Amino acid sequence: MNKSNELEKSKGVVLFAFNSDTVDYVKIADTASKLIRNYLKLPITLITDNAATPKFEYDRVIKVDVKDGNYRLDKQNNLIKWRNFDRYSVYDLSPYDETLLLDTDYLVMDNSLLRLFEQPFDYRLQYRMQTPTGISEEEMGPASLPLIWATVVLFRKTPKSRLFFNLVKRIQQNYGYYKVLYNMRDQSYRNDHAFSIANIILNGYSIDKHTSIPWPMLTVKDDIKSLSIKNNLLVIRTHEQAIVTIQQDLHIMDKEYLQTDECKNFVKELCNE
Amino acid sequence: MNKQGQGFLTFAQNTAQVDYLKLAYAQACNFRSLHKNLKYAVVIDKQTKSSVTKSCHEVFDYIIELPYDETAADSQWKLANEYQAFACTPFKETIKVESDLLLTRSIEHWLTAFRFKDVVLSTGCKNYRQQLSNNRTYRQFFDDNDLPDVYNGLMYFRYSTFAQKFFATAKQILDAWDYLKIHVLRNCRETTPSTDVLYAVTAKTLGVELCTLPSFDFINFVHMKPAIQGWSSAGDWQEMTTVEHDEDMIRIHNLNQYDPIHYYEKSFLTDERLTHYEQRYHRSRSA
Repeated sequence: MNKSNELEKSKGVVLFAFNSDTVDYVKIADTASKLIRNYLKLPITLITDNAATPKFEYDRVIKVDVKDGNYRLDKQNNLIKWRNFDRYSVYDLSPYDETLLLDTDYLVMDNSLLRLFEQPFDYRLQYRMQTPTGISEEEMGPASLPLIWATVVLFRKTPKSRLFFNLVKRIQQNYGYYKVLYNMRDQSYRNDHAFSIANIILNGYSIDKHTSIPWPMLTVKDDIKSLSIKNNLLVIRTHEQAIVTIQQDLHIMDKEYLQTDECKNFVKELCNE
Repeated sequence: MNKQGQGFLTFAQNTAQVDYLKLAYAQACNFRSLHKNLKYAVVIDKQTKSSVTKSCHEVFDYIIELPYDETAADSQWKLANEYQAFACTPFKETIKVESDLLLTRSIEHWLTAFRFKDVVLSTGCKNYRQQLSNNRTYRQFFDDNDLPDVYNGLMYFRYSTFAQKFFATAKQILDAWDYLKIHVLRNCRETTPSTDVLYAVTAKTLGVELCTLPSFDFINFVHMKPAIQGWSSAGDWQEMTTVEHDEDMIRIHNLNQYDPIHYYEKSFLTDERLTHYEQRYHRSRSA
């Protein structure tokens, strides 16, 4: 890498948000972006569809046509639309040389992600996930390979990264084949799976942990009752338990909570608004 | 026999169920296409001799008939002759392998490591993810008797006094097995010892440090027994996953295998795979 060019390289965060019948992803993106701006102080680009009306002042909003056709089961086992296709297009759509691609349900609460930009890499993925009870090592199926999370992805515009996203595209387009080949549990298309497979193929059909973000991602799968910060400690209350941990980024599966005023107020308080 | 050079040695004694010569033939095609400087010798018995074809003579550098066949003619698991490897080998330095083992790349550079000892038994094994296995499903007897976790699937010995002593001791242990299994070993249910057990007891007797290279943890292989993969030990691993061949590479469960593969299930060597390895061999010769 040419060090003299490093100063000139642009860095930024990209979020994808396509509203579904049940989840206002753009609203969630607006909330998450406040935290991103507060802790990372990086420009933010939102990729969304033409119908979206974001409230947050993004540095750039890119409107695209989004494909439908993917579904998943919600908590009540209802089949709902899931507009998660074409995540691979971030390589071409991102206006930055170095891009941090985040899911909207990832709440940034410290600046640790900035440290990743100092590392040598083409791309970095989130290999390990940590729940409040410990490290969770998930596989794509009962006799499959390790699952990598596409929740946090860092990439530079390099030939290897281009290859990576091209592979993700190919996997999405031929998902029926890859689903069987890799013994996947889920029937719906998941970016986590496509990114996991592309990473294995690109690393010589090997599990290569050199592309991993070095720390696990704290994730809460249960429904959230409340979030609060006290003395630099993050308190997560679910309906079953209360978890106290050091203040850090948090991946929240409960999309309903992320759309509440309570979540919005929590974020406002953190950002001293 | 005069010993010279370096090479691979395997035993191929056909049984009613398994054509071990065919396995050795595929292995010779595979090994010789990857190693220009190492020769390949196969040890056969009288019964197997009738199956030796013209192709075998082309691919094997040496076809050696067992001087003393000590297994019963109807035995399905002919391991009792393996101690004769020292006498049979035509090489000064021998890498002895089981015939159901394939390589995906050259291991010639391993000789540099092997030369630290006169005898090196491979220690531990890997799963298809190339991780050292800590599964003890098949190794309870080893743990009960504090035996080294060695595998006969791949071993090295040099023509030396110690190697001679190693195989002579193995023979003594084999001869005394009926006594040892009752009075010395714990929980021994092996009427005749497998070669893994025989060499583990031999190494324990002579000194494990003299027969293994613990710091060279790459000297082992991927063992495809299902429990080692974390799968149910009841079935055939081939029914649980996919296998692809890409030139010399073997991809199991979508992962390239960079270590030797002990495929274990003999049905793995289909005619299609045999043809693949023959083609690889002929291509390497014409290159």
